[in-house]
Amino acid sequence: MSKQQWTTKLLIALILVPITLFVLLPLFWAVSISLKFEGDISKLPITYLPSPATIENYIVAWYNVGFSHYFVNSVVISVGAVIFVVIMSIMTGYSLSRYQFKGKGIFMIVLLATQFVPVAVLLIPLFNIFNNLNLIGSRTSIILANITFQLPFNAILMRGFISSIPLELEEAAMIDGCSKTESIVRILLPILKPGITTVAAFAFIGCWNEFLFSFMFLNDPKKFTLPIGLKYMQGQFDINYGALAAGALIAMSVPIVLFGYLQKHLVTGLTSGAVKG
Amino acid sequence: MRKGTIVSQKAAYPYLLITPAVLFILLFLAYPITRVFYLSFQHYNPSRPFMNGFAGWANYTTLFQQKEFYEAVWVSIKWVVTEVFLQLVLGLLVALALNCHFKGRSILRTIIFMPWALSGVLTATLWALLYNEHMGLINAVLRQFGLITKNIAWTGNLNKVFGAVVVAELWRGIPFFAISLLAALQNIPDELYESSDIDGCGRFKKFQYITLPLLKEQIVLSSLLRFVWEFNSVDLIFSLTGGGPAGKTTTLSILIANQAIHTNNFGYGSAISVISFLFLTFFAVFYVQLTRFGKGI
Amino acid sequence: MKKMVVLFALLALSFGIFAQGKPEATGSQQDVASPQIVTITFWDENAGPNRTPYFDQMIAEFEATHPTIKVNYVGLPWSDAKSKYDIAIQSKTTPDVGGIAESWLTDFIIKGALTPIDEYFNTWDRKDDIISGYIDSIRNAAPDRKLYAISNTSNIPVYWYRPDVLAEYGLDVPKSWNDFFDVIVKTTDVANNKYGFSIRGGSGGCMQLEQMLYSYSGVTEMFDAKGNSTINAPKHIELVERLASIYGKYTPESDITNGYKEMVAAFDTKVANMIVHNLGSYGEHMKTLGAGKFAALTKLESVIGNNVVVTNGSVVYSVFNTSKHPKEAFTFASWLCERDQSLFWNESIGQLPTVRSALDSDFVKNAQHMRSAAETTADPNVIIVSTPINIPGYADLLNNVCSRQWQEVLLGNRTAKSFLDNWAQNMTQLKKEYDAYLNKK
Repeated sequence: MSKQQWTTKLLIALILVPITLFVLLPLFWAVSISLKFEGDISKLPITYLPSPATIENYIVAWYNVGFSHYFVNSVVISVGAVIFVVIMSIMTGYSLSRYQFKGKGIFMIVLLATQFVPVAVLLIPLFNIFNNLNLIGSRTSIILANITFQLPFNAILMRGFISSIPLELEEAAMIDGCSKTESIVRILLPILKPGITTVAAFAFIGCWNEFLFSFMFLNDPKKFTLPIGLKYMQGQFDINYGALAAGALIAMSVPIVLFGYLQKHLVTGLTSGAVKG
Repeated sequence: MRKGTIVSQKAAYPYLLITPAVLFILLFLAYPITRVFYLSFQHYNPSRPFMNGFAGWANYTTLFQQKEFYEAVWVSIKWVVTEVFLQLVLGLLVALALNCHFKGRSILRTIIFMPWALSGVLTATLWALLYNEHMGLINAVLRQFGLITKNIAWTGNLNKVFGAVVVAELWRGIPFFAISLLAALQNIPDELYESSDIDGCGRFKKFQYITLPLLKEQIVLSSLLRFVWEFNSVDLIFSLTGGGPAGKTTTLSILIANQAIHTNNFGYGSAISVISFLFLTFFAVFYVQLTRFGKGI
Repeated sequence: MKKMVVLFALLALSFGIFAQGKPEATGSQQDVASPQIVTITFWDENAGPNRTPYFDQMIAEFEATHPTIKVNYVGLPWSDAKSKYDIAIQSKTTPDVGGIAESWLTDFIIKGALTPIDEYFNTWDRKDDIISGYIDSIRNAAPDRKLYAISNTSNIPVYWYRPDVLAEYGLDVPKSWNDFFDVIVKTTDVANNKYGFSIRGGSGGCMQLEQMLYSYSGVTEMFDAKGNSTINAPKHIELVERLASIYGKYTPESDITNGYKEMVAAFDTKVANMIVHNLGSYGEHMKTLGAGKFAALTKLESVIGNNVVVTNGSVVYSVFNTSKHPKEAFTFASWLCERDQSLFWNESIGQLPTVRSALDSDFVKNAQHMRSAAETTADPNVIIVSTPINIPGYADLLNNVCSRQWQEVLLGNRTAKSFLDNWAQNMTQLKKEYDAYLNKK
């Protein structure tokens, strides 16, 4: 191996080893706590590993808190919202990235400005809008609210991804006889995969962890979502650290598995020879 | 290679594309955001209906007389600048490393992504269990290695609390930059690096002249989004320290949360929201100017 | 493969949008299948894996004994229950009946969300079993002195201590506040990471401080004859100074941002020998420390020699005015307050029943913390007072103004006098504004 390759490897290790440890340490602690008996968690001196270990907390989290149907609700709401967010982000991002048009500047600022106000102060008027639309209590209201709050952020992010793809590719396709839409779908989207993956992952997690609207807009416990279930484990007087850790790990497993599957699309960038110029 | 925008002949197309987004904003956000501005000129607290009514500038003058307000502005700035800067630098390093070819990188990509999957409240709960003076993992480990003899109050000590909260938020924030910059790195054609190899460019030269310019737009956008996001973030700080001790970690957003959510003080809470809205608007404009980004805007 | 994914996604989507049909009302609804059955919705303000099963059990029993009423249970997580109620109130989507913290009661009454239940209560055959003091305190929360709730549980402040530690140092259980400080100092062993006490300096800290202040000073009125708050009484300033002087030396440094769970952790890890909370944390101590390893002290002699117990309310059940079935809603609420249910509920959550006939039960007699609490509340020499939770703006003041200044005092950046003077001035102002409103009515 050449000296250059060695230093590259060393550099990569220097960056990734500490960051991996930093990421894993709290997660290790969560796993450890989730496997301990409730009474052992605050016993001193603390033990790094559970002994004896128990899966009790996972059972509490899964059954007592009704995770089994919260799970389905969270999936339905998140998937429903993400599809819209991705499609609309591409549309909006494309428009902002590829065109000059009147009002673009204002639209861009408005898009950003929607992020300037804390969600908490928008809650009541938003509730009343949905109430007037007769949507309070429905999962549709949560999907719509999620789209509303995920879209601006992800559209701006998508603009960045689209901008970094050379325009020549689409132009070349159009010269070859493709229509505008065809050139977007057939040429741009495949190259945009890493961007789409990122936006989908971010939007999914945003929806997956969304608590405020789900809790405020829904009244039927059968429609509640995972973040509501997790809140149950932080009561006024009882703190169930073990079950909370177990619940958190169960909750985060879905986005992680999903990302583990999707992440291969993060690297399907431009193939060699795509750009001549 | 040319990056650029089309000056459209078909004028309707770009408008068509943004129509759904515009509809969503008009339908669900226009009224709630306008109402924040309206309420900031009202005494409005549903718990004290007998005091409600037009306030004029009263909420603002009260706010500007509070030394807590100026402290919160300062904490907010410190918080956002520290977070965005560190997340960007560390996230960029991780993205560059993950962009190299080596065994096990897809697993590492997933691992590094993991903290992002956790909500703010849960992140705070997890870090509270690490930081706890008595039963926390960090003090136990430090004691084990003989680095400390007296447990450290990570979230209670004036000199440690800010750093403690910053680290917890970094944990969740680095993946954001790492993933979005990694995705953007994919769009840099290999030819560019190959041709620079022929020109005999070193590693840092390549980064400086090829990677950075092409990443610029994404870096600028991600940082801007992250800036706004961190400015408004409440969950983690609130659950870890409640904004204390003595306001040391109270940002403007924590002030708003206290007023609007926890005590129904919507008039006053809205006034703080308007100030933070204006602050963010000025910042965004300034930032865009500074980075000379998006000449099209 | 790709088509499958798309298909699945579209299915999930259409399911999400169309499968749920119409939004249902939160309030009462008529059961279509059997028109004589009334369904009422009940909101539990502090649901969780430990407590919800008890409600499930009670509701099953209620439905068995009341075949014409069905109860639709909705559990709310404590941290956000108040916000959920607030939004439901302003949009008139409240449940038929709900559990609410007593400190929210005045707020909800002023917002016009609750139905007075005097009529139902007066004809209720068990009404005399409820200890009248609790009914009085609920009436006091209402500007019109009507009855807007009933309760089946009560709670008082508790000084939790560890008998084994006291025995180890040869100390007696403290009787007065001076003993209390004495124990704190003597049981502190910083080198071995042992502290005499843990202060709640963070969220909820000022409410607890307020209870300690009146217990210390022996002052029994929250406002003097002129309507001025008594929170800045000289003896209160003294206690704040004493607490600030032990902070960090005889208590852990992290106390300053202690909320409930951090304070409990300090006690349950055996780092702090004493904490001040209420009966509600019994279950937590039991889980980690085990029976006999901790005990409750429910009264401490003040510096002027009297005994003052300061409550800040418990949980009560209210009927909401959006209910189409207030009678059935009251039937459920009052059933929860009957002897058997009150006993079952309080035994489960470790608090004190409000029905007279339950106080001589084995559960109250056998558990040390219960016995102590029952004795204290029944002791004619003990004066029970309530913090001014019924003055609108009180929670706001404590959360947004006082808590930060309390931390400043602990850090030595503000004097105890300045802290309590500000508190008093604000509290007096709130009371004046509220009184003016009451007089106008």
